[in-house]
Amino acid sequence: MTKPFRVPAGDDQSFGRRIDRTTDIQFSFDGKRLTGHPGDTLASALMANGIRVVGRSFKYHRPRGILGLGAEEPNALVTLGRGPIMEPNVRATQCELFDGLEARSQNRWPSLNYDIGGINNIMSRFIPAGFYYKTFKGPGRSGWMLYEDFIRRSAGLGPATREPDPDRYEQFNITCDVLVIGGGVAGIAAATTASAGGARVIVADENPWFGGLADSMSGTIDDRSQTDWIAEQIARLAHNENVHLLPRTTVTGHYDHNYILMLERVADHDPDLLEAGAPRHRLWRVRAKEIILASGAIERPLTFADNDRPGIMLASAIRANLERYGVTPGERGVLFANNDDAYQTAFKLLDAGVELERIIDVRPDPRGYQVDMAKASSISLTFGSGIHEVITKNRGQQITGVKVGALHMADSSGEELLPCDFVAMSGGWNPALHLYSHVGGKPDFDDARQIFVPGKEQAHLRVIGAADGTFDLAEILSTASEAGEQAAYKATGKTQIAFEKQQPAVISHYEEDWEPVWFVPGAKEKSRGGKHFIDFQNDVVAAGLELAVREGYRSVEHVKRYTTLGMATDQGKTSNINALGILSNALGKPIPEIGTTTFRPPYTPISFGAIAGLEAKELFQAVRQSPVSPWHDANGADYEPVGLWRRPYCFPQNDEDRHAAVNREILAVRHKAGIIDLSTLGKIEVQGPDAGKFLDLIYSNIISTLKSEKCRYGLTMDDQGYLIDDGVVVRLDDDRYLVHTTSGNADYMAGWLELWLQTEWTDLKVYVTPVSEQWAQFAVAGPQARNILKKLRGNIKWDAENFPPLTTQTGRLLGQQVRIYRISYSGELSFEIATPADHGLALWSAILEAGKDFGIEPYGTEALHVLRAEKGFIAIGDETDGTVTPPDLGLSWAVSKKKSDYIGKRSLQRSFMADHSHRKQLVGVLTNDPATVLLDGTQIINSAEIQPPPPAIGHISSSYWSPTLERSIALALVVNGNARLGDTVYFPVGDNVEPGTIVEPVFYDKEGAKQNV
Amino acid sequence: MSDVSEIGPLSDRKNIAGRYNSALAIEAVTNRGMIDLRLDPDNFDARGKAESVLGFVLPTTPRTSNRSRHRAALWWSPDQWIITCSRSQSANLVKKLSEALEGHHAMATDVSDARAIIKASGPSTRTTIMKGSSADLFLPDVEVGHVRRTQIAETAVALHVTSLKPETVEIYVFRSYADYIWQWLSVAARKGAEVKLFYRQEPPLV
Repeated sequence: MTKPFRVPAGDDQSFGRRIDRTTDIQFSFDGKRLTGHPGDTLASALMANGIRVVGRSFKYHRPRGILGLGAEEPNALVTLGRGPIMEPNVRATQCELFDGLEARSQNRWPSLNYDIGGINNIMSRFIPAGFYYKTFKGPGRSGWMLYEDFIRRSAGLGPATREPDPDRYEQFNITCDVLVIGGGVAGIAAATTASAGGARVIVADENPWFGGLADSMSGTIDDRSQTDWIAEQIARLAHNENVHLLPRTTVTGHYDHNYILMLERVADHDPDLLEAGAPRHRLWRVRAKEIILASGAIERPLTFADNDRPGIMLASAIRANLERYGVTPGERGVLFANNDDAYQTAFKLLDAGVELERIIDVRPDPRGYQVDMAKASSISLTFGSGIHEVITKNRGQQITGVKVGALHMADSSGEELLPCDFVAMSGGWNPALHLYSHVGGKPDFDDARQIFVPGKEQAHLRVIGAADGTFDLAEILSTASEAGEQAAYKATGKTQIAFEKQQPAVISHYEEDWEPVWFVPGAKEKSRGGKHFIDFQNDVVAAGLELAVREGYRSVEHVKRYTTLGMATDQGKTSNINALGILSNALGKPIPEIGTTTFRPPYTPISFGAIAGLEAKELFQAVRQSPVSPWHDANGADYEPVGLWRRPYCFPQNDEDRHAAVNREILAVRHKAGIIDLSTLGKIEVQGPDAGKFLDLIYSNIISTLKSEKCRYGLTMDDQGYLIDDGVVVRLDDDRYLVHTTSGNADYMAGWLELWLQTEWTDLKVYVTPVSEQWAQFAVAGPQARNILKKLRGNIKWDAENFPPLTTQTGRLLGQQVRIYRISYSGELSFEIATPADHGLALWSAILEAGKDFGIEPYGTEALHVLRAEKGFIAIGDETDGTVTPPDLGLSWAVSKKKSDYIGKRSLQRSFMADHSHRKQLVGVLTNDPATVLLDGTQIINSAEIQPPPPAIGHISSSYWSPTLERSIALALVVNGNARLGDTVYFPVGDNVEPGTIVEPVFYDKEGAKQNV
Repeated sequence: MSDVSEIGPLSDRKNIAGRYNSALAIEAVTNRGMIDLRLDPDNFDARGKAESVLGFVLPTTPRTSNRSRHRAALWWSPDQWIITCSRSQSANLVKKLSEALEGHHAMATDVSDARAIIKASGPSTRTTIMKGSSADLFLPDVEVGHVRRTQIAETAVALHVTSLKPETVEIYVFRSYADYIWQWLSVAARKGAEVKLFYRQEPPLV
């Protein structure tokens, strides 16, 4: 089967340069075991095995074969591997063959050769352009319901795996002076001059080797083939320690300020590398001072009837496949072209011993080097003609011939039938401008040559070579060398003196003689078979574009969305320009007036694994560890996420559920003692001669009057007067304060203090040092707290007289430094103990040990919240939402009337803030049914009727079961709530309405007797 | 009851040196004290007093450090340094600095427990870090002593390049994130995933 599609190497080994014919490797396609050689691509190996049909098309399920050579391939998309490492939509043309490779075709059922969806092709008249829009916007709005099953089955590409990806991916950050994108002749010439003076140069190429299309081009440099010349340059560049060469690396996106993303396929080609620890892909994040874009050009297909039949390939792809892998798509071909360059394919086929039936050139009278060569050879030539019809057998899977006739005559008179089994087509070359366009580069249309070329020069980006529309070898070399030199000079400020300017002797046979042809009329009526494909991947045909125009679409952006032109994963690499040509005819406007669509990253799709990088699986996100975390882990903590922390929600014992554990912990604190890990609290030390003045500006209440070793609860507002944080401020010393913030705002508040110091009050002599992580901190709370702590060896005076509420003591416990604050968030007798973090775990354990006889229990965040809610203490984030002021929460006592200024003061004085009656105010709420615990966020209404929906007058901000009171309790924000104590209000719960009463927001120990002991 | 023992954030970690298939030696540095020192570098009097306590000059060039045998000063921000010393000396050194700076607007705070230090060494140390940090450790200003405050995997860290031959970088990370960064490094530094950069490459295929 392999022969005759694998041609002999030839005397000078000119066919199959990249493969090792002496070694066979096994792979499978749709379960069929096949053989290839090391160096093959999956595409070349399939061709060598005579496999023509490699997939079914997206919409019409037409059989499709390989069209292109690399990134532009729209048809040969396969699924690789299976199970967790299954990867869909891999371009066979860029997939390196390895032993054991397993590939499957896509979008076919039950099999590639007998695809039932092919009915779509027969039914294609009923799947016109805009089918989806018409279906779903149609009358009755039932389109989706009617068609969903059909559409889901028949449209689409390969399915993604549902299993976790076992491989690793990673990213890499780097800066460089010059990034060269593309390692063909232009890129390598530029890299050579750019690196000559020591600039740091990175050269990335998507292929596993360097050279681009040099191996398919006939010109020579200094009497050597272009490939030999590149090999020499590459050897030199590789040895330069200021140059980094990256094969298998696709530049996928160009972003602002020359930020580049490029995907290195580290191990796709070799499972052994994965086994040895390599990541599958590495996403390079490059910040390049200068970029040289040498991305080359992509060959343009010709638009003739049934131009998508398997066996019709781009001429350059056929040429390169012969050269590199020694494979031919068939035994007898025709070349259909509009330019000189494509003739090289004809010569290559002849050299390889493949029969060439005819060269069909659309040009009536072509002249030039290649044409003269062809004329002088035995090749049969037909000028001014086009392919009218492709004759096939096996339901379109096998070409048997083409009908050729006059280009501009659509009748069948004078048609000639040429037997052949493959067609090489070439409509000329389109510069690959995708990366030029990512950051807003607008291509210009070159009318003379009918191609898009880079327009206005982009800052720090130079386009060279074929990407710049430069096809002449000598010109490529001279402009590329100059671009490299300039880029390096701009990046480094240094002239690249080390480079000896040399003008290599170049022989280039490039002829700028081509005739654009947008449409080759077929023998059949367009709408009745004979489809002229424009976008192969999304099955957009010329007739579809014309239909869109007839239906009133004018802008290319609209046509694109309506027909899905260019919206497949190949982003229209082969379809873009042809589509514009068709639209230009249909609209009667020149191409520049139609405009081109916008190219967006990525150039080719990249894996989600690479986007996630290393931060997947166990590294998905940092989980912050408290100094006591090992104890929590070992003692069955049931965690809840709090920012990046996992804080113990409760500590269930035995078979307890969460609810039971929380109730037990609360009662322990109320009746005995509890201990909670508060190490996550924000702690910031503020020092300097102006520290008091500074804190007076930050807090709503006065801080500077605080005496040393005293504590005060403080509120911080933003400049709108809304509460952003609260916490206890401690005066450690004359000019040194410690401020506590909530756990979630620890970093934010440190930044907040620095922001005001650095931007507004630069005259204040204050230093701010965050010490959150330095200190472990626990609250020991409950009637037995003092008795327990007294047992610990140390110099702290625990008795009420020496350690009254809102004071602090520093000293030593168990030989270690401690700071102890007499503050209570539970309403019980409470001490918060801070110790340097490394001692935290031991001190925690020692307190639990000392408290054993007193019934101490560790408690979690839920008990903390119920305890504070029972006391009516607010929690930032529950009672506040960024629109709540201190007076709203009944905290006017902590808003100074004396201080001349502080953040938020003026805002609270605005008339609509000062008149408080229309604002939501903090109240307590008791449901009439004590067993009902409302959900946080439940709306509050005035009426028992919910139809029609009455306006909400407030919402529940905290709601809990209180084991202390043996009923539900809730805090709420209610409009003018303070004036409504005793009123009955209602809570919609599902379809029902629960009644309840507004009460004062303190449910337990209103006098504070329990904490002041 | 016995005295409280010290448990650092990475005290349960086995040092990784050629084990766990790691291309780098990774270890926790646990015996180092750290002091956050703030003062105005243009206040020569105050700076001089601090320097005489430390025994060397405070670096004022961004991203640099200075050191004596047992102590080092890492430039942290224009008026901030992290002073490192032996762990047992930190409290005493804070006291000495505070006394020497009495009357000046300056601040010395013992932050020995706030951060963990992870020392990574081996030929691909810099490139391993660059998998997670946008700091380019191959730029010319990255010399021995280089200090860089940056992020690894979105986590704030400071890097202190203590040697280039062999490559050794000390990573300062807040203690609550130490476990994460340790794990991250262990995965990033595994054998087979090394990145070599700007070296004499074998010419790739053409």
